[in-house]
Amino acid sequence: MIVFLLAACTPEPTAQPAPEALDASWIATVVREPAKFTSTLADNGGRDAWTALHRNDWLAVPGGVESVPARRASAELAVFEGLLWAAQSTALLTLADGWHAHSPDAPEPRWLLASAQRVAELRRDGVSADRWRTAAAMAGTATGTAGSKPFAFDLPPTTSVAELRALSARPLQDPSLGSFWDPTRPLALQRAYATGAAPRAADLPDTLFGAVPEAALGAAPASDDVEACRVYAQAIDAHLDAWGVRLEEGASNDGRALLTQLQLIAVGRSRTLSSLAVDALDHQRPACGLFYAEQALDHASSRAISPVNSPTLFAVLAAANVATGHVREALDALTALREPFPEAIGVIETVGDLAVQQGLDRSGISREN
Amino acid sequence: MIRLSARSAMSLTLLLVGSAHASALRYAEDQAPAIINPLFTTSMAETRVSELLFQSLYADDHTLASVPQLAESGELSTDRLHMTVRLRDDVTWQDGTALTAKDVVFTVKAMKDPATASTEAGRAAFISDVREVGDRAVQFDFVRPELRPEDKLTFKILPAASFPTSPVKRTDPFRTSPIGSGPWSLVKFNDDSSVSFAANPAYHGADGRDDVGIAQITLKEIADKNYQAKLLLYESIDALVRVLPRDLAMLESNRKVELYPYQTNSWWYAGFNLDRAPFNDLKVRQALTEMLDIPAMLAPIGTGDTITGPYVPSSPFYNHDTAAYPHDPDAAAALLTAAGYTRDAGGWTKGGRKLAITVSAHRALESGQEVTINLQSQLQAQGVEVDVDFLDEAQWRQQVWKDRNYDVVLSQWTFDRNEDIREQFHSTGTRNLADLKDPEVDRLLDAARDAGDPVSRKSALRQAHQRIHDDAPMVFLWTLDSYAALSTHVRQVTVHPFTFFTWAPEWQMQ
Repeated sequence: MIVFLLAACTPEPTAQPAPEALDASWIATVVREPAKFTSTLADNGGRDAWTALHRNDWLAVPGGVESVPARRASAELAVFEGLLWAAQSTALLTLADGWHAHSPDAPEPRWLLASAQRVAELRRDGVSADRWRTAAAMAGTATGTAGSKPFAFDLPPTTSVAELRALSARPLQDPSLGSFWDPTRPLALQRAYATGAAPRAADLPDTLFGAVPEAALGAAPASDDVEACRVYAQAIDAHLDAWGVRLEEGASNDGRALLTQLQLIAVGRSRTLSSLAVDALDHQRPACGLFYAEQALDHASSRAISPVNSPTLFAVLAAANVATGHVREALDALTALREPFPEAIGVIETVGDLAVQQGLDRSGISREN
Repeated sequence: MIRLSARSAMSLTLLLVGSAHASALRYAEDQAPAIINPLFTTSMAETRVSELLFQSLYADDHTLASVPQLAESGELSTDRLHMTVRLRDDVTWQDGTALTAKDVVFTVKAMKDPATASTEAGRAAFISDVREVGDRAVQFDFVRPELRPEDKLTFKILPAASFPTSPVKRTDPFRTSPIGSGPWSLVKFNDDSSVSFAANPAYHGADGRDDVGIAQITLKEIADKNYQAKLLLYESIDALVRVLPRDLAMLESNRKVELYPYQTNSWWYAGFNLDRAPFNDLKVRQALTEMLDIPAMLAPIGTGDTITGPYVPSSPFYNHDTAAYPHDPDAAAALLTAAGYTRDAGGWTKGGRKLAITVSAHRALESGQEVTINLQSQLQAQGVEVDVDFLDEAQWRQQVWKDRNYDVVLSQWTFDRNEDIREQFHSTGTRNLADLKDPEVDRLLDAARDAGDPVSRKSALRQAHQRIHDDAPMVFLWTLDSYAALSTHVRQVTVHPFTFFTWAPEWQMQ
């Protein structure tokens, strides 16, 4: 199975490259054994499926439950939607907490009260921790209780496909409010379940992110000190750059072409940094999470999903921005998801409401140029 | 390949000769501020310099929450109509004199005085009166109840003693010898159009910090934006405050440089003068809009998103249901015909007069010449006679803003995260350059201002977006990716999304 394995074997931390670790990664397989790469494509879902997966166009990955790329796409979606849940739930709670202070003359809308209550319950249940595992475990089985609420707040990890359809079949709220998941738009993950391409727990650790080469570089900083995280990210860059040069030097023409055309080093770098960002967020280090996510982004095409810029990266950017108080900036990241993931509109609206709330008492400033 | 003009090449040589000073930060601006006075700030370059030199009562912390800066504490009355702000007692101006309540009162009154014509007047409009309460406290009276006035008390405070005459004028000597209380102070305007700043030894930060990590800062005016990035790679400068989108790929592949996304709320427009025929005719404005292939104008200058109204697509106020005017020459021709124009071999005419326009743009607008010429080419191909006029700062200020002597301006607006377009589109707005007067737009902007909750404000401004789009006072063009780029020698960098240098006292040079 082609997996992304940047995990290093060298026990001692060192700034020197650890080629033996990276040589075990799927990137090395693709570049050094193009023929094996080709046969793998044929055996595990087909070229179209792998191509779509590489583009991070997960919803376009064809295949059923036995298709490796389809299962990987589903697993990616589980993480992605877990991060969206993190962004939205944080925004929702902050919005509800600040409502009275900012809007004392306007009663909290029922949807906000009820949604915030539900989020708080889920957080107490530990949904926010270790999100992707929880999301994967819950997505297909939990019935949830959203259907019993007088509002339509659908949380991706807790609403089954059947329930989602039931919810979408009846009018639920004043559409002008529009500040939560739109129940008429099925979640991507639910779509994956509906097609039978459910993620399996075994797929998740290997497929979602590249493990950080800790053995070569030492563990990532445990504090939320951005400067320390910057130094660590620079070490990763140096490590990957040096390895990439050696990989290219030893590759055949076909392998070299794949390395370039598939942007493999850039993809590996982005996944590694995305992984660090998610980990930092999970461990209450939002400033570092934001830094890693910004570093992971391909800035030259920062508005679109691409092989380097995955939906997960935009989601972690949004979640980290919300967690650090940069709510307006979170909307920039979420905007990239607006068209490919219509269900993200609910998240965008919630985060947007929070951004507006935070500016209710401010004077705007404008400048020319 | 980067092509340099002779003048640019000479400047580059001079910059390279004078390069590399490890304890100093050198950053590039397209144009150095002509004056330094926060009461008259119009450009982002001036905003950034003000951030180096001046402080405010409250400022953003790293989570963008308002925290005391010159203020020590604030007490809001129960009716929310008054606030007493107590000042810190350890703040001095760079000349050593103490900052007192008198300075705060002076600043607010100068902002509000119509004779000052401060560009910041709108930021003090919520204050009905202000008075000293002893040396270290100020009482503000508000026009209406304020929930969190500290969020608005973020304008820069000036030293009253530096302005012996009233009213304050742009031409006061302060403009070239400003005195502030901020982390840096002005050293001099240099002959090469650079501006030098040095750490202010009298600085006392609200966070207890008495010094800054970077001793000297130099603003380098590098008008030719095409080679700013190259200078950063040559290590002749340490920071670019705004990277050309087309340079992003080159910079992000260089490990000596880090990119910082920071400011997102800018958009370009081609604005009509609604007081002047034929632009007072909606059909003509819509026709000119539909003649333009906006994505084709955007493509040469980099990545970005086209827009349909006065917000960027990521804004919570952007109305995604608003459809863009199509690029449709036939429809444009029909609109002009309906407006009374006829077309012959010489182009469009009405009453014997050609449809002829002049497009004015500021010389310092990045890629402005490229866009203007593209716009000219597109309109001329469809029978509209177009002249272009590139204006320097003084001409722009006089001709466009003071005399309003223009047909169409190409420019860009940048907003902080509140994205308040009231000044640009309300009939009473001080920056309503087009002179749009639409009672419905006014009503919606008033409703947004008065909205007590985010949902109501969002709803009103999305409607305003649609209405302004329909009025077509300008051709809404695009928003570009905004990045700063800094050398990795600069450490501990965090960039404020609008004012840029707010947290620069923490930066260090390696």
